[in-house]
Amino acid sequence: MKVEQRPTDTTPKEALTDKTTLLKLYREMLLIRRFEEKTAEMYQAAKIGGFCHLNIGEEATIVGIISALRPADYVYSTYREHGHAIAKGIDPKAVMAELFGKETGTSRGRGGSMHLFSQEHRFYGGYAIVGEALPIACGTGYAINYQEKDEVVMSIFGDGATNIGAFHESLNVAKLWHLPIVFVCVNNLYGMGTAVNRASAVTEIWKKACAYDMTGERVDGMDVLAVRRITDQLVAQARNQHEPSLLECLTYRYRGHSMSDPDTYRGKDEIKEWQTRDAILSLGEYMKNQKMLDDEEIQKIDEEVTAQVEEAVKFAEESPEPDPKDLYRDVYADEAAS
Amino acid sequence: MSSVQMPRLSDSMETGKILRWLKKEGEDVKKGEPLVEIESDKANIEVEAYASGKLSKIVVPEGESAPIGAVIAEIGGDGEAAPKSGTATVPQGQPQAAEPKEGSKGASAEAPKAQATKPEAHVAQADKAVAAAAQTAADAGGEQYPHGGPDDRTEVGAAAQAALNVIRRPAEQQDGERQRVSPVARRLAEEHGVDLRQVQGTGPGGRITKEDVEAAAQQKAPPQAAVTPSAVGPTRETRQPTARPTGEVEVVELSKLQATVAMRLAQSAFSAPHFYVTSEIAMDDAVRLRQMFNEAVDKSEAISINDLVVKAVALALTKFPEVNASWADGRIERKRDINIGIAVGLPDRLIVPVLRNADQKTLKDIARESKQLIERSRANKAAAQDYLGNTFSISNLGMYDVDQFTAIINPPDSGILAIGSIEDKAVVKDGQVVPGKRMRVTLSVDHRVFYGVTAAQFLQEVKRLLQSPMALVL
Amino acid sequence: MAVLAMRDALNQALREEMKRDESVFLLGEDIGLYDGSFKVTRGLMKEFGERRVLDTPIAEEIIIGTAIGAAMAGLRPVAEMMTVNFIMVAMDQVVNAAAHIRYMFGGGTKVPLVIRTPGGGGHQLGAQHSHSHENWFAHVPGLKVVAPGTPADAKGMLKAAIRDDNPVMFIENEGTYAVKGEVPDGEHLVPLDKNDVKRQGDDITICAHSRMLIVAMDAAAELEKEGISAEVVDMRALRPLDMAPAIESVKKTSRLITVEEGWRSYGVGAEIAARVYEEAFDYLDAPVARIGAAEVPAPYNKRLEKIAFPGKADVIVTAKALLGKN
Repeated sequence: MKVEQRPTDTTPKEALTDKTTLLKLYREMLLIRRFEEKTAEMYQAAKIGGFCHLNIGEEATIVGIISALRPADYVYSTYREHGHAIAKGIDPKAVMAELFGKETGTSRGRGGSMHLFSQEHRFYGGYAIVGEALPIACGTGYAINYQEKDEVVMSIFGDGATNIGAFHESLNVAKLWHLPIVFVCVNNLYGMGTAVNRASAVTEIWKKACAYDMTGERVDGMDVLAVRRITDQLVAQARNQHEPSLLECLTYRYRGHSMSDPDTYRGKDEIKEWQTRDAILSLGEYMKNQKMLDDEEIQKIDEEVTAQVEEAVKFAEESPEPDPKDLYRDVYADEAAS
Repeated sequence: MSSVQMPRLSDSMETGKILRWLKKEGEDVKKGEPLVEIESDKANIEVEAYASGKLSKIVVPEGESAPIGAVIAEIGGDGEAAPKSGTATVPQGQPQAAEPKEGSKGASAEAPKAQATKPEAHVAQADKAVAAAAQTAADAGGEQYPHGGPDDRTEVGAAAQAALNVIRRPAEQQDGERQRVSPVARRLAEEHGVDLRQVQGTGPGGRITKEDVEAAAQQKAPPQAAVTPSAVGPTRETRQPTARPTGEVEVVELSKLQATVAMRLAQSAFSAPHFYVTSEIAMDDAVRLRQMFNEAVDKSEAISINDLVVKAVALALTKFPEVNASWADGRIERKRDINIGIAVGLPDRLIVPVLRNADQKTLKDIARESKQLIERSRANKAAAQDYLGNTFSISNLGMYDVDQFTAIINPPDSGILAIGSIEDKAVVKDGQVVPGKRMRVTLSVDHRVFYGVTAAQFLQEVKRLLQSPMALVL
Repeated sequence: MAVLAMRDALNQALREEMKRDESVFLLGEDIGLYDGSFKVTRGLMKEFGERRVLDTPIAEEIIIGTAIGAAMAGLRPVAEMMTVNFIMVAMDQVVNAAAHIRYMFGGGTKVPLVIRTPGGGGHQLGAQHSHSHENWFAHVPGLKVVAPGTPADAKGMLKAAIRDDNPVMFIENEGTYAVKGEVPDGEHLVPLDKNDVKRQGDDITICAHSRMLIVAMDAAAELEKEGISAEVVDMRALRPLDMAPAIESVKKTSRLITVEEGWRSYGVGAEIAARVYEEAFDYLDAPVARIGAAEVPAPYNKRLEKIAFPGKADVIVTAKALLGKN
């Protein structure tokens, strides 16, 4: 089986070891962690309704891949997207307000947890149908080529999506049409309640890329620096050579599939084992060893992001509900339409 | 026996003309022999026989035409005429007309060789044959796929069947009396003052249609005033001589409602021992009161004599609860509510809508409600409740010049008051003969429930109220 | 005025809009090199190149999905679904994505997309190739749906659809591509939300769209010979549904027949009838008569297929029955 060789890594490694960058990554991961913990709390307090899927445990993958993008690059995500939205630059206040269903939310209360969006941040949506966004992401890639721009599209999805038709159709045309796209599979080993080995004939997801003659890579999704390094390369490959790729990030979600999941299909030991490899803790340890951070500063950062999250909740609470008179707004894009 | 059918001799042929039969009726025919000469839209063609046997019948003679697929002759039969097939189906076993040549997908020939990785090269490497084939197909103007052909179906297809079933649905006997009237017919009837009961429906299922109402509105016959129910204010009806039965006897079937009424009246008449009390009431003050009242209010709020009678009876019943009662299997049931039944006679039925709690209602209420009840009954829109719960009834034939009559009690009541017309009479007042307005009423009583004295006293009270009608205004 | 076949009128519309606006591009199966399976896109790849006339693999979700993603990123794609029968494979993209994206993202983006797709049957193509689904799309808020029945309307509405900022389902019909009609010269636009009377009459109203419009017009011509004057209302604008001409007509005639090529139950006629009952109840002389395809998967056999799909005979007989003339 022919395996695509990794293209030459021309990014200076030092860029990923300077304190500023690492601090940024650390802070962002911790912010996402605290935000999602608070989301769980708010959901159980019935402030958030519907379905709620959390990124707790996946922070390294999320921050690692999205921090490799430019603001003008596009992200297509799934319904497990709160962390992705925040990493792409959307204000946590707007995310929490959307979860609360308020007019000040990213989608003005019309979307909820699964349908965040931001034109400004090129966060092109959360989607509730598995695999649905991949063809759409390809379309945006096509538009980039069409307009001869130099942006990149990142399409993020889970292990479950790699068995649906749209996944295969999308990888095919991405390669066929030379789209500037990076497909990222957040492999947290479970598609809802079904383990990868019960759903997929090929359990090493990165290998599926070979069916389309495409670059396939696999990385430890709990190591934010490793994720960031490989993503940098793949994004550069997409941007400069219009060669798409598939990146598999091995990670884990500490909580169930959603807030309604009793999570009986995984052993407590498994969850504990993954938690010992917690990305935030391990980056913190690494930075302490490198004398970039001490416990006091870690504490401070924690307090700051926690305060940020509290502020988001306050903002969401105080924001207005959508007016029922506006029920029909934005069904169509012009005033004249019914 | 095998049929010889008009063959399809060209793909555009639809009918053919028999030019010449090459065999005579009764002659033997061998398979493969020329049998007949047919003129198609393009040429004259000799057609061979596809079966052997005696040419038993020539169905379509020389000089006549038939559509393709029609039976034109029979071989080996007994000579009886075969039913002409009118459909233009393609006969079995006949050569199919060639499908338009461009029907094949040109692309299946050779796909363009996809070697180049750069986009532009595909165009350059395109297989010219593919483009040419596509061009030919396009230029031929034909469809990519074989066409369905012309819309030549004449019989009704399944596509319309559901719609036709709805239109042609036969009339159902739903609750006997519901007239089927289309919405526009109903509206026009109201606008033109046409009485729907007088209109014969010619629409599907006997429905009265717009056309029927329009015809009725334009009839030259003397306008028929709407037949008033017997309980509403005085009007005169003129009747024209109608056609007599053509036979010795004309049977008029009863509707379900009529049958029920007949049965219940018979029950009432023959089970309740009736006795009757008559009284003549001076209606001068009542008439005057009514006049004054109606001058002061809108036409729609006018009260009738019947409204006054209803109120008087209701008030009287508050003083005579034993009259507001029923016979029930050996016991007497006194009713708490006073609900007055108002008999409404229509040409084909008698119904008694009920005005509830008449004692608690003002004259204005009674006037309004009884108008509505009667309207609903006439227009067949009354609800079931409208006919339930009567405790005493009134029947008024006053508008028909009736001096007096006796009515049959309406079950489960024990009394019914029959109202005659108000007449100007010479009466004695203070020793003088003066004109006065008099109305005769007759009370029918179920003798099991109450007796003569009660009946007389009750009637006295009714008379008193009507003769001092200000009491009714409260 | 030129006389054009439907396919050529559509071709003209595409060409004119692609010339006018750089961001308009086409995608679909065999639309480029092959010139389109129904030749609607003939010559366009030659004129505009591969970037703007994209031949896709047989991947319906990709056709619609990439169109959506391109539209969100600023282009104006016209996707062709070779026939409406194949669109079911991509219904998720059409409904959950194209129709919902603007609303569920709070108006933050828009999807200016046209999906052109022919439906209809009557060509012995069998059950899987004979569907009509405009009623399915017309059911969905967020979509616009049009089904023109004349070359002039086709050209005008396709141009308008391309300029519209919403996802538009542009319903064509395999049986009408060769139908010819007059098309005005110059810039010819037809609004996407206006229906009109194609034939005036007094006795009965017939509402029809797409190929059934032609069937209705043929039936009306024959009815005229028998002294029945039928008014034919073209229901080319299905969502938003313009009922005004139909209501006005029913108020005049009191009788209505609806004709569609899709199955009768839950079809376009059902919606038209419901609206007529709501808005013109007191004007009806009979219930609305709905004609649609017989409720069977389309049979292959020629005769069976003919009676399964509506034809002018059905309209004529139904009209007479409604008027009490059998």
